[in-house]
Amino acid sequence: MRQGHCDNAEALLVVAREKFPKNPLTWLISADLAKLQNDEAAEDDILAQGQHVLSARWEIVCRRAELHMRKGDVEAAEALNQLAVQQRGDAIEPLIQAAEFADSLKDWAQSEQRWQAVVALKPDFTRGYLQLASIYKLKGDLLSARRYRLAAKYGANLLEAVPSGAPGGNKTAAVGLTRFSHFLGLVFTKAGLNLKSEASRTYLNYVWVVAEPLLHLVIYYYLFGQILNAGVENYGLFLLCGLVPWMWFSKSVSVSASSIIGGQGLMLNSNLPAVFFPLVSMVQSTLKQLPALAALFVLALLTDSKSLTWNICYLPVIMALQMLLTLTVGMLLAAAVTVVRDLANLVGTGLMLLMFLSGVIYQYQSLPEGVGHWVQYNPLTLLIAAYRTIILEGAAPDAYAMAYVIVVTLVMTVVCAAFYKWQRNNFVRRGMA
Amino acid sequence: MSIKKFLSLRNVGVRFKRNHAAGSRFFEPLKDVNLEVFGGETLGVLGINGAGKSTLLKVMSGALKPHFGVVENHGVSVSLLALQAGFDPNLSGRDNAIFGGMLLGHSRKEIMPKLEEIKEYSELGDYFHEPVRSYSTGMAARLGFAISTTISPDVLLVDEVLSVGDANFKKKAEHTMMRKIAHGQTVVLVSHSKTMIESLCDRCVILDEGRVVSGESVEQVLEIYEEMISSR
Repeated sequence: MRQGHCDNAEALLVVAREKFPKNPLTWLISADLAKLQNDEAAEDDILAQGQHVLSARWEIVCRRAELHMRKGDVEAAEALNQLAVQQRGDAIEPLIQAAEFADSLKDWAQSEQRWQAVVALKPDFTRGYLQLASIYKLKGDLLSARRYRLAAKYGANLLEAVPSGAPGGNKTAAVGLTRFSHFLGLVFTKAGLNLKSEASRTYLNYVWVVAEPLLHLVIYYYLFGQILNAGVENYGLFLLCGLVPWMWFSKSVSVSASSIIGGQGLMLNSNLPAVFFPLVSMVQSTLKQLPALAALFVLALLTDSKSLTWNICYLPVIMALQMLLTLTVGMLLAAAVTVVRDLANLVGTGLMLLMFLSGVIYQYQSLPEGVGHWVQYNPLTLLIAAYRTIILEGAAPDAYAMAYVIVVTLVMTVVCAAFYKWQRNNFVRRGMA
Repeated sequence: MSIKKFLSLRNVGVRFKRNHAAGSRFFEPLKDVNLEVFGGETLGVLGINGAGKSTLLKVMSGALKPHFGVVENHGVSVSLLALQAGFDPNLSGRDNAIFGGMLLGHSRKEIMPKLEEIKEYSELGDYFHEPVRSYSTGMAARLGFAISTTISPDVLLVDEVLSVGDANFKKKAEHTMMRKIAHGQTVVLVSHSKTMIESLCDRCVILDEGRVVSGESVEQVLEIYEEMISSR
């Protein structure tokens, strides 16, 4: 047949049709031959016979539908296609033909429906998705068009719903209080995780977090209190009342100082405000120093009966005040370090100097007139004195001194807030330059 | 489909002081950028290394405030798909996932039930409970991607992200990404790879030394990009 010997081919096919009437292929090839000879009447005739003999096999009915479509007889074609669809069994081709008919008639609604039916039965039929994509594009539904275009390329399960988090998530909705509480949650989680990270570097893990400040405490208490006491009564406890709050302050400040610089990467990749980092440092250091503070308290109760009075209620107030003061100092330092990084190297030395000027290891009142006069303007000196008054004497702290500390702290807070607001946009930029 | 503006960048410029005075005193990763991001689209940004692509994403995400011009956010949430932002190498994958998830806007309560899903998706197995410092680069990237799939912001900014892990995982990551895009996720995809942009984007611009070059269609822009590269 391909060789052009139509007569030979026809003769062969007649034999074939008689010998294998149940094989649809012979009918289809015969129809092809008639098509080759442009004999539509003969083609239809053969197909009708085949349809009859094979009791409406879909291959032949489809072929006939195609013929009628070619002849322009849409109704007959559709009717035949419907018959093929009914007879199709597991085959998908009649459905594809139906969809193609709708395409050629430019009946897009029908076509969409039919292609959908096709891909529903055969999810890996790429052409179906592409056809659907172009139909949606014609309809102007670009989103669906893209969805089906991608499905054609990456597979049908792309069309399934996104497993988690619908677009337009919760972040825009979060306002005010929710946002603030989320921020706090983030601060505490990060602080806790930082401690965990710190602990994980050693064998004894969390033991060190508690043990390190406590070891300090024990050494100072015995070394200075019992052996090297300079004739001061109860010097061990006196020293600890200064040292424990001081350690809290100095650890917090030194961790805070480089916190914003250290958080640049994080700030660039998320929208965290710069204030996050000193806050985390503060919480982290506080959690770390809490056991020491508690130990100081217990030691005081055990060794000194005077400390147990109602004035102990002032202790949390003093601690809160110290915390706020420490935070503002840490924040300002952290901000300053982003401007002049060299400052980070001076933090340690500066803190040591400040320690001597804060009456940590001595009674500030006992200083010579000149220096002592200035040292009493240091809010830390006054705070430490307040700890001593409460713990060692069981008395209420000096009201004037505390009022002064409160005022200083508030001023610092305002300065801090203003500075962070003013510099808000620059923290990130500096990290990139 | 109604086309809604999500982000508008108008005359945006970013400029940094140079630390070492070599040539000009400033270096400007972005110069006078005008760009709109519409809802539901996939916008591709092509550019060679150092063209300012990442800076553009940082400006869009709001992390970096531009020195000139404005970035107008029409009330949408934008987030950068940053794979390993804030990973602490000493913490386990699980702990990093908790913080990472919270960083992306989940509350602690929301992230807890998703941990199993993240573990599953990242294919880390028992390594999920090991410190991240023991991970290979690919493993860390997988964890990062797994965390980030838990969110769907209005606009997702993606920086060359689909080169995650081995071939298998890359396919999976790509598939997840495609699924999001197929469901109307607005994405800004930054890449120097033409093929990635070609297959995904509805619209595409080129970033050339901090300036935006746009064209009529994706094909046209890709041609311009081709010429740009060969002329270098």
